[in-house]
Amino acid sequence: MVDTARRGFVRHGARTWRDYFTFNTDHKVIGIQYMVMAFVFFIIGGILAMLIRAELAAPGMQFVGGKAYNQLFTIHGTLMIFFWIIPAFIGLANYVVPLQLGQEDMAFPRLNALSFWLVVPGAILMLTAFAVGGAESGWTAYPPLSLTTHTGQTLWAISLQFIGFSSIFGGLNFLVTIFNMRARGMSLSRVPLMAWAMVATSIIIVMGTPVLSGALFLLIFSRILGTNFFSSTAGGDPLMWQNLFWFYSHPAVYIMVLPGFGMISEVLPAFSRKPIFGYKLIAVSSLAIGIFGFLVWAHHMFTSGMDPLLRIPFMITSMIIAVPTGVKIFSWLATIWGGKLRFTTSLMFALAFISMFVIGGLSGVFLASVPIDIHVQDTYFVVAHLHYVLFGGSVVALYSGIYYWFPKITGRMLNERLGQVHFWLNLIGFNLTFLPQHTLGLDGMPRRVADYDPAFTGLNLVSSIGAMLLAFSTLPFLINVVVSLRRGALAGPNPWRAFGLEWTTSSPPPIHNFPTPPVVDGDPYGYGERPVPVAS
Amino acid sequence: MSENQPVAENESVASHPANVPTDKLHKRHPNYLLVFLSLAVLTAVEVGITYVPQIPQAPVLLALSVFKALLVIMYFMHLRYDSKWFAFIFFIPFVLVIPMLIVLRIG
Amino acid sequence: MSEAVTHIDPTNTSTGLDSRKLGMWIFLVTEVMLFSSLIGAFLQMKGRSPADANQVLNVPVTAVNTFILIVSSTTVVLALQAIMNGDRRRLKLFLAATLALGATFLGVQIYEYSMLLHEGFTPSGSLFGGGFYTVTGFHGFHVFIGLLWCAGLLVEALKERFSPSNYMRIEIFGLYWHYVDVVWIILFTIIYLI
Repeated sequence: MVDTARRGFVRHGARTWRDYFTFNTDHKVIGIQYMVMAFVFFIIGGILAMLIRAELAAPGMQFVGGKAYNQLFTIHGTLMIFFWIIPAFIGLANYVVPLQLGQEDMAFPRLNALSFWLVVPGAILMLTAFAVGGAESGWTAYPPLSLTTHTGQTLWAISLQFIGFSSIFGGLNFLVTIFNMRARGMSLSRVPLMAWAMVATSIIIVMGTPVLSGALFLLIFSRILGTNFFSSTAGGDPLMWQNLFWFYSHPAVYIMVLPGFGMISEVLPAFSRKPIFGYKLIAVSSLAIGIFGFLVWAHHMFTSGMDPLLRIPFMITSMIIAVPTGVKIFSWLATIWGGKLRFTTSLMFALAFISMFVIGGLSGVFLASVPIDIHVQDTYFVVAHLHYVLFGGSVVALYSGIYYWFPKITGRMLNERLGQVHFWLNLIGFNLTFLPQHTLGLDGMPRRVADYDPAFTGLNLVSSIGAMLLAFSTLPFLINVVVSLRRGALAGPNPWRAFGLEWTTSSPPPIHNFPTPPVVDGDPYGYGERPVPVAS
Repeated sequence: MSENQPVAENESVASHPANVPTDKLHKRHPNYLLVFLSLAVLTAVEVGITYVPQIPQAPVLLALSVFKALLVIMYFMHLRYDSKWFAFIFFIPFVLVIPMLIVLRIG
Repeated sequence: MSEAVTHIDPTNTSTGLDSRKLGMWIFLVTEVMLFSSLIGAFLQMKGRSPADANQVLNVPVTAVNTFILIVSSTTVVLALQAIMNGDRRRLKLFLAATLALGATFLGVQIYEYSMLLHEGFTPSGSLFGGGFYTVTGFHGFHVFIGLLWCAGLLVEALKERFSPSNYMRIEIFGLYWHYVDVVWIILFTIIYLI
């Protein structure tokens, strides 16, 4: 059977590891390219986090100077957001969604390959930015600091433009694919929730990212052409950067979590042997988050000096945005309620996701309240919140998805015992790291500082120890992946006896995914209602 | 969302691979020259208005330019005759643009 | 070894909408958001500038230039109408006209830029200057990309690649070109006239 094809320099499909370094139009190859690259950046970003926590383990300056520390948290944040979590989700979604739709690829396979390869110059530029120094104004790059730092800041901005374009083309591809390419019989009400999640994610990408691009161009022009958009001394408006930046960057956090929501919606029914509760609720609330998420951005600016009157509408919208997510949480709980739970590592991560994300969501509602935010803005309370939703939420959901779909992608099962070790070390390490930070923030410890008042020592030490444990927890996962690739149990087409078209083809799927185009005759979560579909 | 072919519920159009173009572009062309003439005249009117300070400049000029833009969008880009989904997709971002511009102004 | 890399048919879709056309409309959404952010920034700069900041600009010349761009929008849609009716000669003629008119527009813009820079009106010299060059520069860049695209299509048209059953790429280019025209219609008013 042909498993690669070529036209000019364009390849399709992979037979050896070398094919994964080509301009390849096969969504399965692109998905893996994204995920592996993203994981490398997860490690790099994680090492930066370890350096941060090492410095913060005790008061005083032990390892790095102030400027270097600023670069540490700037690059940590930037890498984790733009080079880890977003591409990792895009990668897994790229692999899974066309299969779930019963298709042989995305709507625009060459555009898909371009999306991945745009990340590469972005990554090179970002690492160069770090090397030449100067990217030290946080991932949020507020002027005036971001106007006055060294060349690294310009490279940082240009790097993000590459990522932005990659993202936009990807979002476009997902939207056209999910609406235009569905298996026969798959009406919109039979589309898997993973795909609905990608619809919502892609809507945000398509409408939000261009605004970031605009803001970055204004920053770049101000740095290299001398325009004065953000310089208050020249009459410009530093708040304009903040408005344009957050107009994208707030919805961006939903880009970073919606795919995770989709994955949870796939995993929970499979391991509770029950249909998903509230399919329509989950799909509609995802779309609601996608649109409504654009109306909350200035809650990042409550203490910026913006017009005080504007804070009220944004406080209201920021509280309302919790509702669609709450709807999902209840739907997920109702899904597992009364189910016959099978505690695979994937399910464990999914359950941990629900609790961690609720904690993060709750601290978010606190932050939405202006009177509270005024006291905790730019403190460790915010750092705690964002890591609960982005790590305890997004990363944990991603792990759940990885453990779920690894057998489909590789044809092998991951070792469950190692998975459990990974899970528990991860959960304990994560909470040890970030739970104390709520208290630190409420007690007044600012964020983005290399040193702190000795009164904060105890909890900082606990947090740093937790971080070591969290970092260490990645090892059993990596070992599991590497060993299972060679020696894992053979998976077969449907090891979880799950519904979903991806489980009706072999593991891994053949180059064009399905020997014959599948036909759908029921909803995607028929657990307990219909026999599990068998591979043709 | 298929335009011409009645399909059974839950069946997608992909099961009818007739490759018939389902948009109506084939059948209806507006008078493009008439649209062009309108655009040209309106442009001249706009420039003329700048010489008549009695007319409130900003609101009138903005309204005229938006009208011209709509002429291009509806007729040249054929949105008036195509699937309403294209119109829906295109006009959604404007809903977000309004809060953005307002906050930029006030903030 | 199969020749086809992969075969996705953009006309055989679940919604009945052509995938390429749907993709272009979604792309235009991204362009709306991009230009909105730049126009928002421009309006901020204009708001912080004296009311006569745009007196330095040449309205009559730019008005004619606006007219030229509108003509080019007309010629591109006439090109599409032509090929849909099988008139390959008119397709080539109108594509060539679009290219020529677009190039003229860009040429005049560049000439205007050089005049303005010569008079000391620079991106860094004033807030209005920064806003002006940024937003018109982005527009000009989009025109430039459009010209490259149009030239490519003209070459293909000369090779008789298009027909009444194969014209979608002309239509898609037309959508992009019309959008560039729409942006200019707005820009001309808010930058030069108001």
